[in-house]
Amino acid sequence: MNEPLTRLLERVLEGEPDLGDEVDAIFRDADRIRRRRTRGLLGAGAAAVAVIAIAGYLLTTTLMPDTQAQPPAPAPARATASAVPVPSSVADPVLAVLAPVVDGKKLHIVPRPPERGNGWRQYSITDPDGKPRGTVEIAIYHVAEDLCFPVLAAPGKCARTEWAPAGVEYVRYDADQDRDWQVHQTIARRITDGRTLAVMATGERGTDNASKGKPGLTGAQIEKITTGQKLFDAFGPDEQCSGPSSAACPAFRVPVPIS
Amino acid sequence: MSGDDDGLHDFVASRLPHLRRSAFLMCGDWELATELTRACLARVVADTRRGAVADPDVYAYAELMEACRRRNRRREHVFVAAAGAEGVAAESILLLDALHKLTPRCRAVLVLRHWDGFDTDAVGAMLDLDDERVAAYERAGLSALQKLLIESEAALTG
Repeated sequence: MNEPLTRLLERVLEGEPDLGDEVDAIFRDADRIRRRRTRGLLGAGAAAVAVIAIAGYLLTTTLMPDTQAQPPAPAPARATASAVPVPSSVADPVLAVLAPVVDGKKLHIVPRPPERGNGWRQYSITDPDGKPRGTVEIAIYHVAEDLCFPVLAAPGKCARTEWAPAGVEYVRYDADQDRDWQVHQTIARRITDGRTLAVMATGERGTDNASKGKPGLTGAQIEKITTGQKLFDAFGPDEQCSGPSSAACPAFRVPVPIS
Repeated sequence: MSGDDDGLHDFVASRLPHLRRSAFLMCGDWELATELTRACLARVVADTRRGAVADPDVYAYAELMEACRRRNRRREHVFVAAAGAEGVAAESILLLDALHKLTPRCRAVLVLRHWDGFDTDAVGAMLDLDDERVAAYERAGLSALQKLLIESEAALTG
């Protein structure tokens, strides 16, 4: 983009059609809006009467239910398979982002069955002796609108976000008070395309030991992995952990509030 | 027509072309842009007449961007030319396509800042964003747009 954006946009607008008598049409529409509002006001009384009548009808039908046999309810739709078939020969780009960080800590990371689905992956971490050091779970979503990053201590409130380069806003969540379930999680959203990542490292659960239950990756490492551009691009462009297959998505300590 | 209506008429006549161009950059369709702009300005006129509008410019652009955002969910085409219009340069289609790949809010920030020339404060008021977020959207949007344009030009030539 060598030229300023303004000049590029000017060129896009070539071929603009004539406005015609749009100004007069706008004033006619405005008059129509005013008339509609007046009618709406006058109709409010009639609506109130209608509401009372409907409420009476509903109460009557509720108190005197229809005794006719109802046809059997249709069978529930079969759950859609969640896993996206991927040839095993295809390298895992998500693992390729995680592996250098894990290897740097002299640990190993491998896919954990059921290892992947549409918009999600999960991995196990082990130490050099093969002892489990917890899991890493990742999911990607598409959030076109602004995201209210949750505040664990205050449901309904939105957390203040941090900013990473290239327009990535994020919030880091570390929960290590419960020694049976220690979690490092980060949620990050790339504001240019709305792609939103949740990455969570958990330690082994139920060890009743703060040291043994420590996640294999630190909160800072999870934050770095989540906010870099590579992980966003490691998922397929159409992948997202929502829709019919979302039941298979990982259960995060802090769920991403997508509607 | 009353004196107030004269002022409103001047306002509508002067803002209509600008608003319609902004709407086109948001939705890529001249017909839809005209429809959305017309509906938005009709609401501005109706609400101004009953004294419910403090700043018509902020109100008009905020309404228009919100209408474009809602319609964007059903958008199927990157570009729809005006009836009878001549061909459009490939570069223009690429730019509209790149804009279309950004989130509606990010696109709105770029259009309002770089086409309409509003300052960060005004854009924040129109889109209900604080200054920091407007700046972040603008920085990230420009960078993403540049990347997308380089990729599409490479695909076109290569």
